[in-house]
Parts: sequence; structure tokens; C-alpha cells
Amino acid sequence: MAIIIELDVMLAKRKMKLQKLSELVGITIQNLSILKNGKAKAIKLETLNSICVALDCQPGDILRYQKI
Amino acid sequence: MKKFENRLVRTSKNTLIISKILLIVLLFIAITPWFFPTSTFGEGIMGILGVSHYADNNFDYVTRNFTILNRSLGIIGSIIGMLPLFIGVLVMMKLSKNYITGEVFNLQNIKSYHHLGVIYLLSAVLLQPLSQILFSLCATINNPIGHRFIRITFDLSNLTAIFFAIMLIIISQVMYLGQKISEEQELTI
Repeated sequence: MAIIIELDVMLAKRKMKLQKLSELVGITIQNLSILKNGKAKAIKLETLNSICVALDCQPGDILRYQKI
Repeated sequence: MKKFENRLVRTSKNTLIISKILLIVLLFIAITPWFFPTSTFGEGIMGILGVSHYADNNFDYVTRNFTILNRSLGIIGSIIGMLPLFIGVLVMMKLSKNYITGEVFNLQNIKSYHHLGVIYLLSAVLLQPLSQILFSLCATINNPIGHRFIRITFDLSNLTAIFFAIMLIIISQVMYLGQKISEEQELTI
């Protein structure tokens, strides 16, 4: 897929563990791993909003479009 | 939801037992009458298979003069005719085992339904008429020249089978779509 998830980059920038984000956002660590590894087919706006709040970032910091 | 799952497991367990019994009965029906054609049992089963319809004179007389050729044609005809049912029962057993273990909407089950639909469609169009040809030949091959015949039948039962086979194929395609939606739902975070 042409959409790249850069959740691990943001986590590193914020020096935050996936476990901590999972607790802040309120979704399971398994689902966050699916998202982080780029295996997710879709992301709810509600989830994106929660992640942006937890990481204090913009959606563009997490999602990136790359031409194939 | 749990209630329906339990019901599916219970039904699948019963279906598995019935399928095992049915498999043995079908094998018995397909082969044994041709070894005892003059017995009441043999004639009865041949009546069910439709062999007796092709005998223009007394069917007792026909069965008494059965040769190896008649029996071979009969066995091949009944195996060809019952093949879709055999496969159907085997697929049903496989599906039941999957349902018992909780695998309901997986790709393997959907493929099984699709293959079953294709097999029944082929059966209605090719195998059943071919089986009837062999049965007609089996019943009339000992007749004097000019009284032997092969009959190709295509009747309402074939049309019904085609209809249900197409429906099975459509249902499998709908299930495939459902499985894709379910997969997408699972991967929506």
C-alpha cells in the first residue's frame, strides 16, 4: 500500500513505549502492533484522534503517502 | 451469539454422525445390488436407481440373465451417478469438523461450498445423463438386436439440480465477500 504508517517514528520521538500508548489510547497492544507494522486495512478517525492526542502530533506525522 | 454457536456445533456433530452412516449406506447401495440382482433387495435398489424403467419386458427375466458386462455397466453407472453425493457427504463431513472446531467463515469452507456447487452443476449436466445412459445399456444389452437402446434423459430433476448448484455457487461467492468484509473489519483499528 502507498500509505506508510510512521507510528514507530513518533513513538521514538516522544520516547514512548507501545504499552504506554496502548493504555493512553485505550486499544489493545495487538491492534497497535497491527497498525505499527502496516498490516491494518483501515483506521478509524476516532482512533487517529486518540493517537494524535496521546502523542501530541498531527495525523500527517503518523501517516505518509509514498508513490509506488 | 454464543447460543447460535452452540447450536451450530450441536448440529455439526449430528451431521457428522449422519454423514458417516450415509457414506456407508451409499457405498452399500452403489455396489451390492449388482452382485445380487435377482434378490428382492437388488431389484428394489435397481428400481430406486431407475434401471428397471429401461427393461421393456419382465425385469425379473432381465436380472436373471445378467452377465459380467451388465454388472460392470451397472456398477460404473451407479458410481458415476452417486459420485456427487459421495463428494457432497465427504465435504459435509469436512465442513462439520471445521464448524465443531469453531472455524466457520474461513476461506477453506467457502472453497468447499464453491467446489460442491461446481460438482453438482457438472453432475446435473453430464454425470446424471451419463449414468442413465449406462443404466439403459445395462438393462437392454442382452436384448435381441434392434431392441437394445441407450436413452439420454434430461428432465425436471436435472433442471432443479442445476438451479440448486447455481444457488450454491452464488452463496459461496456471497460468503467469500462476507469473509473479506469480516477480515477488513478485523484489520480496522
